[in-house]
Amino acid sequence: MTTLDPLRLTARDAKRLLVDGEISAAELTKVFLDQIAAVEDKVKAFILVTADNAAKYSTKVDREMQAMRGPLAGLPIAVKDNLVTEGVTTTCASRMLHNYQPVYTATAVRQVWDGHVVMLGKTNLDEFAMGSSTEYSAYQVTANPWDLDTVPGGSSGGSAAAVAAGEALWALGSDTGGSVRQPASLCGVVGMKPTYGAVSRYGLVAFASSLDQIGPLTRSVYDCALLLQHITGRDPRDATSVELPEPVVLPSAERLDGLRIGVPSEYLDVGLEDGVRARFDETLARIEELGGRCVEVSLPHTEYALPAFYVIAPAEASANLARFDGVRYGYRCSDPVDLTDLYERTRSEGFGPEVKRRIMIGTYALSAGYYDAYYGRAQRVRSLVCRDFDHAFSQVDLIASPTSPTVAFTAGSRTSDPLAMYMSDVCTIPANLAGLPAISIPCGLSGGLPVGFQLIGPAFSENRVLAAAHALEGAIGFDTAPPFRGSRSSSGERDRGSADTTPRPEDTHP
Amino acid sequence: MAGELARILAHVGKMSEIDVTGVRPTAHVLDVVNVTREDKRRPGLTRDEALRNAPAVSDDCFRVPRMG
Repeated sequence: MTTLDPLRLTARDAKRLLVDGEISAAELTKVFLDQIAAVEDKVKAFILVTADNAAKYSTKVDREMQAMRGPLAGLPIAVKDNLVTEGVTTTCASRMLHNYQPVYTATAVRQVWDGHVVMLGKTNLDEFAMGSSTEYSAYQVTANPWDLDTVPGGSSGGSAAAVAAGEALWALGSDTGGSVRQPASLCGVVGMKPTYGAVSRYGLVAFASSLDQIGPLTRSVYDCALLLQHITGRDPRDATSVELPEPVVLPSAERLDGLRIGVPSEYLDVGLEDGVRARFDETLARIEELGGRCVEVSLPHTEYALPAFYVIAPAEASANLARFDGVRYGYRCSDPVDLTDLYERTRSEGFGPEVKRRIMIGTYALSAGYYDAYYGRAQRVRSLVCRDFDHAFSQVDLIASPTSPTVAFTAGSRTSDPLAMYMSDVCTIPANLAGLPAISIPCGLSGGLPVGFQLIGPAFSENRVLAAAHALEGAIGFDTAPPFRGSRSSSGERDRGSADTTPRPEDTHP
Repeated sequence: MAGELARILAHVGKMSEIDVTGVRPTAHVLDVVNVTREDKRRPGLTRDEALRNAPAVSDDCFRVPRMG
């Protein structure tokens, strides 16, 4: 068996080794399970590792090679724990769903399962995907493999950290305001949010339904396209899902000749760290070297996108999370005296602080006296943000920006200031508001921590985004292997509030 | 938490700086048409599946405490 480096192996290379018979699916899966055993203590990317099932299933893929083949067969994957998986506990990193056993499987997960991927486990996130650091998980704090004292970003921080730490070949996440791209940026991996509707949201536990999209986190742009190919498509179970006008193509571009890249000045005026700005400017220079042309564009309503998002997303969340009432599934408070007591205590005890904040902001913004001033206005501002993009895309093919204004920040540094945390997504939120496809690729290091470069395209331009990202990735030549520096001074287990009494989900996969 | 909520509301209040007169609120970000499916029966969750995660069950129904 070839010795494989889980920190650098791509799905593309792994597949070639499988096809050439140089490695079996069981051996490949063991590479990642061994890495989980070696580093998970420090990284804490997984809420649940389904090791036994992964080992068993990979053996089955090897045994039934004739029936179980295809581009994804035998490739190990990690899945964010807000995607429901039949037979495997799905918690959304919330006490509310600590014991939830889904009776169905999310379409995107079903699609990769049908392709015979090997699921390694369910990854950590900010509770119900609300957060930008994965510190709002009810179970554990995930560490960034580049520096264990910093956060992996969020909310798909577990998926991003698992890929960066070599604990998974690739992963699925979800992105409502940057929750795939921002952690990808902070962890030095590739992350993509497709066009709204490109991937079915059936089985993605809803946060903000008009913004949520499932997306891949991978070690290369090619892998990102490969995974995206298999999760896109119209699904009768999600009325907002659509067929992409052209299927996702595996990218091979090495040049950017003739491509016009717009650089919005408003995105550079958001308090970028010097190192982030430097890597961004260098990447623009690479675009020019590859034959592309960078021009300044204006997205004048950018500064209003964040305020609009923090009305729309909480408003939708407050409606979506009304279902968690202790009646049909999930946590129920003990000995409720009547129905009101059941609702109040179940929700008070079951939800963490950030979820409560958003439910309160959302219900306030939707209340009769404030609807027009908050929700109504936010949806109008959203139209202006969409118009800005329409206008910009009449001049350029793609828009470029840093993914995050900063590199990974120190754990605990933003949890006491919600607005500082919200600012983490200032460059990623507009693409969600407008439903546009956007990718983050690593473009270098600042102070030893990865910097992400974001490309945003018009709706349904996935292939253009992926082709440009592929060419740029080749020119950048980023090394995806993190050093695991830092001491991880805090243990990583939840240390506030109800942590001690929160039961950890057990592995119940059949 | 009251102070945090006040600061968040002050921040989102920034939206009042711009004139949105005549701007239509976003209903959906993409041009889409209504989608309908065939009016045919298809299987849903079984009773057992629907009740599997219930904290309390009685006579094949969700059990809740009395109302106030």
